[in-house]
Amino acid sequence: MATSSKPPLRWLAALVLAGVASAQAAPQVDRLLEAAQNGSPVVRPQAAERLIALADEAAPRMLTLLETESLADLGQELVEVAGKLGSAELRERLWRALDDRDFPWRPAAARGLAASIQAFERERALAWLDDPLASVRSAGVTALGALDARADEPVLHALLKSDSSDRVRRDAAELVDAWGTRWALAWIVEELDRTDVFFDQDTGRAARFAATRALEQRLGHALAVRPEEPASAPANAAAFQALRDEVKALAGGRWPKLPAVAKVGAAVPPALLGLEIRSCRAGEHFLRFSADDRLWLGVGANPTSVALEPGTVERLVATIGAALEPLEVDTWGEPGCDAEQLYLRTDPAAAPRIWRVSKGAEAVADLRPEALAAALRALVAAVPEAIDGAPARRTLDAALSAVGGPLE
Amino acid sequence: MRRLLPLVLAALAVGAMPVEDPIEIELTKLADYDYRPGMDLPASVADLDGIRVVFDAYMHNETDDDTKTFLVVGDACMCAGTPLVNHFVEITLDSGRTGYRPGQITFEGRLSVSEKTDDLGLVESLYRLDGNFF
Repeated sequence: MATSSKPPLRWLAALVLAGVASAQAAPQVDRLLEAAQNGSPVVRPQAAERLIALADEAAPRMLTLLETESLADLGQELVEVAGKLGSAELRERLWRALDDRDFPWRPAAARGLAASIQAFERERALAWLDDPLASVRSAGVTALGALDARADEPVLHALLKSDSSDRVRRDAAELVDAWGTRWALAWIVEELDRTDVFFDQDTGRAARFAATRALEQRLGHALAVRPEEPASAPANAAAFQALRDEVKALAGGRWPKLPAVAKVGAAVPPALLGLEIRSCRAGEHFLRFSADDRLWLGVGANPTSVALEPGTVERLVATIGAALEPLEVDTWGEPGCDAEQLYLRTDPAAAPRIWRVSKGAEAVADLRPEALAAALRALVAAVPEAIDGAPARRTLDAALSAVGGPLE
Repeated sequence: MRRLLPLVLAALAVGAMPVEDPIEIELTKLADYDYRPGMDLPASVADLDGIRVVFDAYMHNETDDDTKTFLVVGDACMCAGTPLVNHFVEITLDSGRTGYRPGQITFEGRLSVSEKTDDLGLVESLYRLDGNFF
């Protein structure tokens, strides 16, 4: 019968068409995979995102790639997108990678998983909130948002209270606000008044711009406060007060008492010596020494400060300056996800000199020259064993080991 | 000789033109909108096309050795996550070559603002600067 023969014909036609579409997609998928893995930093994220629309082809091709390459070799863009292709096998590989503290692209893996987190994965995502890497904690917030896990709001309040990363606190505040607890916006409003810098990096200004964008999104209108200047600057003062009034009204008249970590503190005196470590494995560490013999840990609104013995910083600057004097180059290694930068400024008004070591996912032997190692040993020795009850010197030593190898 | 006269006059006119002062810009502002390929760019950004500018930026850590062309970003730490297309400026040096340099650097030159795409339709650059750093 004609009617009974139509469905098989239709299926056959559909199968043929699907086959043609698949054959057309395959070369494009391969080219996008290549661009996402080896293209320029501008192109890689776009190519990876383009693969999501071709997930049916891209997921098996990625699994084929993984027969000959490690997940780490795919690079962070493909690691992230691997979690968004709807493949349970790829997702399981990402979960395993996240459990490996030596995997170089843990933040990318967490972001990829968070974007399409499943209810049964909630417990595992909650564990990210205690991760040493801020980017992983941030992905944990994204995951809770994707799950609409409102019962977990108290864990976000804990992040607001004590997380050392301004980005994690901002992400948490945005989600808590989206769930109706509007006083959380006070955390972001406070960021508008930041003026902090870390040597030549205007971290306060970057935070003001990020806070402006976040608030405009949450409030649904442009801010009159201009992020080019801190909120308490005369040009901003009236608009800032109006913004605070608006947020306070939204929160039912409540303005929370911000914890020390989130409150804008006194200005940090110009630093003479500092260290910045950004390691995909050991996390981010910032410390600097100011002429008034204080050590400052972290960046942001209110870094922790420790008083040192009088004369410590002057001696350190002299020792480290002498150690680095023979060096004729200031950068070593290859670009990658592990980097350490030593800053030295002998003239407070001048730009700092910077010595940098960086590397990719693999450990590299003899990466750091002995003169720089000697300078770093002197710096690490000046850091107290523990600060606020947490090991400081050992943590710093481990982070430096993760980048340029052991100092000894 | 008469045929050469317009060229000579044009050359003299160019030579007599005042040097254009660069406008100081901030990469934070070039990055301060949600970019989508093919979109109409904000006027504050589009109006900078062809303008001589000066700005502070950081070399991207994937800068090759001994290169004339490299990427810079406004945020040394790339703290806001993966930098997007409108967070980068592609620099082509007028003269000389360089490798990666840490720390903040001042760049000056003529800015181009337009999408440059590859054969997959991926945007290779949105902002380009022909100039130098000091």
